[in-house]
Amino acid sequence: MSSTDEQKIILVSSDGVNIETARIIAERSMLIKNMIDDLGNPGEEPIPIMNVSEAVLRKVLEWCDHHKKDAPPEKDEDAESRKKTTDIEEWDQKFMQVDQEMLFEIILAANYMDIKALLDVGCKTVANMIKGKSPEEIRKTFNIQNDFTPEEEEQIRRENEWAEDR
Amino acid sequence: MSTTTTTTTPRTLLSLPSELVEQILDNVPPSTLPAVRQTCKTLASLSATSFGSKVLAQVSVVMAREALEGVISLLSHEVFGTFVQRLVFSTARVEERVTLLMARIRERGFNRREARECLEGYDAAAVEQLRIIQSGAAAALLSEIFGILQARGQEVEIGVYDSPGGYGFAAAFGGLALGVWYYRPGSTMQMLLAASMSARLPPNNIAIELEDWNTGSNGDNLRFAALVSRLATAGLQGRINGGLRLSLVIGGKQLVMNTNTHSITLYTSPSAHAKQLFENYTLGFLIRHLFLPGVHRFSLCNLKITWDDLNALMAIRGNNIADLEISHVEIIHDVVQKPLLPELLKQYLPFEKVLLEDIGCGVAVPEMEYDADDDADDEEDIIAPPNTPDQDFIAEDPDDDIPIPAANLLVSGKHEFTGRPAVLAGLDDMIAARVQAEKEDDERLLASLALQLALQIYDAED
Repeated sequence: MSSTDEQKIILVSSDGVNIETARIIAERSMLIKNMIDDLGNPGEEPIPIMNVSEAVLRKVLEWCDHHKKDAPPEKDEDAESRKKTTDIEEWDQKFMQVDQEMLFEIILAANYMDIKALLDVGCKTVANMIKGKSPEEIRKTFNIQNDFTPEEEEQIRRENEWAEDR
Repeated sequence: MSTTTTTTTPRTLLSLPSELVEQILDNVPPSTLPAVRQTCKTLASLSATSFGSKVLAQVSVVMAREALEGVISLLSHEVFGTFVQRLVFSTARVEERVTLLMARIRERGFNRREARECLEGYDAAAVEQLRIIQSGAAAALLSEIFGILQARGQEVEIGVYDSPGGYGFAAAFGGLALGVWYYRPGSTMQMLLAASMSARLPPNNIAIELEDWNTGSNGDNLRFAALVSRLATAGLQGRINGGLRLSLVIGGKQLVMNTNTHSITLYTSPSAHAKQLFENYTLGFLIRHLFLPGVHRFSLCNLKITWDDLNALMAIRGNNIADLEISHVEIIHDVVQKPLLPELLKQYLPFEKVLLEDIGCGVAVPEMEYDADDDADDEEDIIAPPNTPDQDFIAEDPDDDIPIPAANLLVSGKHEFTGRPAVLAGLDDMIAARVQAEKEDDERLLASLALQLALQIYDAED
């Protein structure tokens, strides 16, 4: 059914912008796929994406376009297999070179639109920004205030000793 | 065209829903998680599960006071303690460094002052480690560790790291899991066994699986066999809830014991001779130590046996075994003629019937006097492992020491009579010779004694 692949649908961003895209691209999102399945008559009515602004939605659709040929995610077992690979493919790495605010918006959108692979790439990208950093560097990177009392800090430090090779 | 977003404040890491932050932290390598915990309260809280499941799942620990106390504090923590799935113990420092050190002290014939300087200067931490082991403090701390785990019903896999053997995790020990590829002398393994047994709650449902266990000296093998024998006794007397299951692979032969079924099975390679079997000292020690009161069935599989072998086997076994089952056995016979077989077997199976159906000479043997003193002292020559506190929970109970008389000998499977001569050296002589050899050869024992002396010097001067 190649005609289904080439079908166009219209998404409406949270800020009211209509974005036309191919059904095959949009259906990387399980949210959209389920809506189309439920509503029927794809393409006839615009689909509102309530929580995602135009800028973020376009970015997400860019990712979906690149990954439209990927094998569809499997139901449950992919949760485990995804965790095993910590690498992010090169295109995705470039795709994720955005400011932090956009990065978090993409993660939120991927979560809302139920695009597991994109959510995964987003989480791994943030994890890589944390990897190998000291507490102070992590605070600086993500603009976090140290809200520990000295006693709490000491408690955490003692607990962290459990993790050291003895 | 408008590009405004609906969010009023800029997105930050901490503004994300908790489950997304947790998903992010789940991708952070374990080595960075301690740093994440130190950033702020929110991340400390949201990283707790990742920290517990990835960082605390396996804890490595050397036999040093602060390390063992650290494990106790971890296990006592009501949240983080439950994440521990593996405890890996190591005595690498003691075994490598101190043994070398003592060799040096001995070689040079140091006097007290020199010995002390040498000890102080070499590696104070290693010496301290050895001291805590030899004083029994390590065993006490281990007992506490196992007590916590057992009280909580927490199943933890226990491993031993010893260079060059590496890890081994094979089986469950007393609701805890314990396994090693190598049984190493002196050793962490021995301490773990002892500590488990002296824990506040006795371990239950014990399974020990040792693969290719044959690396210690014969002295160590004998000590280990004695330890296993004590465990087996406890199991046979019903003092281990759930019983003891033991599987030892030694030189390609497998000895399996199950105290629940009161049985021992020895699987050998199809061509193995009984003689070779008994001359494999490790196995010989074990067989000898596991012919215990309460073992009702002993099965030998894939074995070539001569009448002399059978004699030797029966001599070791005493009168404890009710059933002896030999399957796929090749009986090598050149002296005793087939018609004499029942006569021979009568000696060992004094008052019950003998079944030799496949050979075609099943005979009911008339009752004979049963000599209860026979071989009664066989299991008494157990050498206590060094630095191991006495374990009351498997203390010998003389009342339990009543042998169960032999009932049946079942021989089934393949039988071939060949004309090969068979000679079996007396097993007792052999073991005595090995014990003597051990006394002469066991450098490690010497090193240990020398080290104790040196530590006394060290302590006296303190």
